[in-house]
Amino acid sequence: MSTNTKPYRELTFAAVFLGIIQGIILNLAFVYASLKLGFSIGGSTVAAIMGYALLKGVLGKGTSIENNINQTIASGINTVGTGVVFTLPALFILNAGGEIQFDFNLAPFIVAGIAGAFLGVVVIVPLRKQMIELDRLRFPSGVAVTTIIRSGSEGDYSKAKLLAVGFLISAVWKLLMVSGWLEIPGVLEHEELNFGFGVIPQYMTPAIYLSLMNVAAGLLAGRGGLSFFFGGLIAWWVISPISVSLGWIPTGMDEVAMGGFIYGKMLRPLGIGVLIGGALMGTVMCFPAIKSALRSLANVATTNSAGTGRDEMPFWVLIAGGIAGVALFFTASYMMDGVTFIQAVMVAIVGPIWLALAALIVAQATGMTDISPMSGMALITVTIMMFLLDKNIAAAVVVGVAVCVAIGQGADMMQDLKTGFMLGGIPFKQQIVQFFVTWIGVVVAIGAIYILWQGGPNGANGFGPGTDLPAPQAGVLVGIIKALKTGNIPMDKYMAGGLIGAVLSLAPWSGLGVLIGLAMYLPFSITLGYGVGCLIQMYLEKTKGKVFTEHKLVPFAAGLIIGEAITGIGHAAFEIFSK
Amino acid sequence: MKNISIFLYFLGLIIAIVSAAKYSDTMTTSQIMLSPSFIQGMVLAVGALVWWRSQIKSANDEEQSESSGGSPVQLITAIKEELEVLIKEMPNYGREEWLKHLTKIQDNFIIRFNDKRSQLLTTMTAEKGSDLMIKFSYGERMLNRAYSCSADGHHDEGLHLAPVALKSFEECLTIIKK
Repeated sequence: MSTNTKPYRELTFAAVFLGIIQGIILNLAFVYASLKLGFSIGGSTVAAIMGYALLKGVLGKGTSIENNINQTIASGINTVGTGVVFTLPALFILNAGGEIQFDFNLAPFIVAGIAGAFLGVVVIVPLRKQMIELDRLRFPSGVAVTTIIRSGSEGDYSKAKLLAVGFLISAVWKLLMVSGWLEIPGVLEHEELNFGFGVIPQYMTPAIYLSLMNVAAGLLAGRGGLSFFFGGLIAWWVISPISVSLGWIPTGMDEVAMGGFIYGKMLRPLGIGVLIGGALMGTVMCFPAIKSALRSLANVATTNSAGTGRDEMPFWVLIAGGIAGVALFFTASYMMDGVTFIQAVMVAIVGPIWLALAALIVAQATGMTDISPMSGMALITVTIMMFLLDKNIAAAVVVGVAVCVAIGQGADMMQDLKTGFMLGGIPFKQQIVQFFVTWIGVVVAIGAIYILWQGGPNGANGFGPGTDLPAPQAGVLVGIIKALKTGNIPMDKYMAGGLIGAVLSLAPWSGLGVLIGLAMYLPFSITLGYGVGCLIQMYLEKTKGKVFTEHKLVPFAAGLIIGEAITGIGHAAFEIFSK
Repeated sequence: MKNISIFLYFLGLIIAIVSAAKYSDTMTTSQIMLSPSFIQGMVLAVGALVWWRSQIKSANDEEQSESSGGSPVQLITAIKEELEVLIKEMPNYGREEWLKHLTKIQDNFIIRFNDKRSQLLTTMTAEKGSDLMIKFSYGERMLNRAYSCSADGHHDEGLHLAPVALKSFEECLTIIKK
């Protein structure tokens, strides 16, 4: 093969243009799908496949790292939609229900979303070295995207074949699951296999989520994800039976209701506390390393030794972006009715601090398990803001939009930077494109939500309970807000969980607090499926060796992740268009 | 002894978690957090953690000296030596052979170093450890870029990155010697 003597393409107009177009399309599609189905899907895999087809196939000159820029932009713009669709629709639904008076002035939400888009990148960039280079977090979806991009350029197609096999198995399996053909009432329902069989009590939630994507995340994490599995075992097979046997559960409940009570009232709030305490202590423990990373950011030369240009985002851009983000935070909250100047100042101080911590928590959780605890972070955000803003719901949701957009951005940026690291991309180029273009996603998502709302009868109620777009995620937030209005906040669980999380993060095992907190916060069926993946990986690594797992298991697991993601998107589209 | 400290640490935490999970409409936050079982669990966990951490450094020192042919320092040295040979022979390599050599470095040394890095990092200050890992990661990223370049047909640019990576691994060894 002859050598191409033209400059190696990375940050090009074609990659940026394609990334923006794909990002807008994916954002619109997933906002609609989230309102319809209640879940969202990351768009990196779709963007990487399309990028390969268009940059390399159609233009005939695309490179791996150019495609990485394309998927960075597309997933950044798309992810913003997830943050907006989780929060803003709640306000529309509350207004329709008469709980609040909302004048549909969307400007503060757009300003807040843009603040979140900027701050999400600004706070996470200095942590790149910590999470990717020092802690070596796995970021399963980032690894999957790398495998897609690499398989398009390597001469050896053995990995591409394994990727295809994984894809096919996962796609067929997902189709079988969503078709409902295998469903057996009480045993296999909603993609969960209940293996209690009348022997294991239902309050121990003996169920496994039959998602190959979930198992694949465990296959990629291996030993590193095992504490997540143990966290789930402690929560459901230790705490749950003890709580029942000691009579801590109200009488008159059946076993399923007991499980729901233990989850909602005990494990989930405690898990949120453990997550926050664990992340806070983890940050404190990393101070020397973060200091070193910041020093290297501040001292970074404009051209690195490889002659590929600047390696990291200039420090002044981070500072300027941070200041702009805080100013936008202040502006967004001050624009809301009933918010005083002092309250807006407090929001502009407390909001970004909490946002930074939440982004760190979500990026760590995503890096270790591929699972994002966004709903828990949104809950804490609204709790803090309703307290600061004297129970002003609309203003609290404005901050909620900013935080959810930011934490989504932070996790997505880190996932993309992991892909960039594995492909040898220049971090600065990914950071700068994400910083400057993802605000587009805020405008697109808020615009889409407004239009869909106006599309209802008499120009309102276009989504929410009882409509074709039930907006399940917003329904959850509405429930939380109503509970907060009555002052029903489990502070004891948050505080005690925070202390436990701090002690967990002091252990010499990296990320223990975050992983165990996340395991308590999530349903056991997810933790169990992930744990099975971890155990299989450990067995294969022991019997076949590390090289086998890196070269055979990783592309296969990446195929499993992509197969389910693509089939999930196809299924969502089918559901939407068939009704 | 190390296993006992780990066991006691998790036992203490489980006691604390179970106590904190107790649901009550009537107990206040302070009543739950100051309950004897919660405090006892936390005290046991913190005590065992101190014991556990004190055992780690000496254990890692022993592991460092006992690792046969595969201590983290030996692995960085091996990467450096492998790259030196590779750079000398570079003009003779075609794309396929070059990609095979890069994969070999990744499989035989880089993956193993990343697995064992904690042995080395716990013997140095956090700041020195981060400096080392940042340099190592830069070298690794340049090798990843070299692979991408060659796989995408920009073979010459891929070859040009090997000395950049080598310099980074040499700097790692300098940091360790300091």
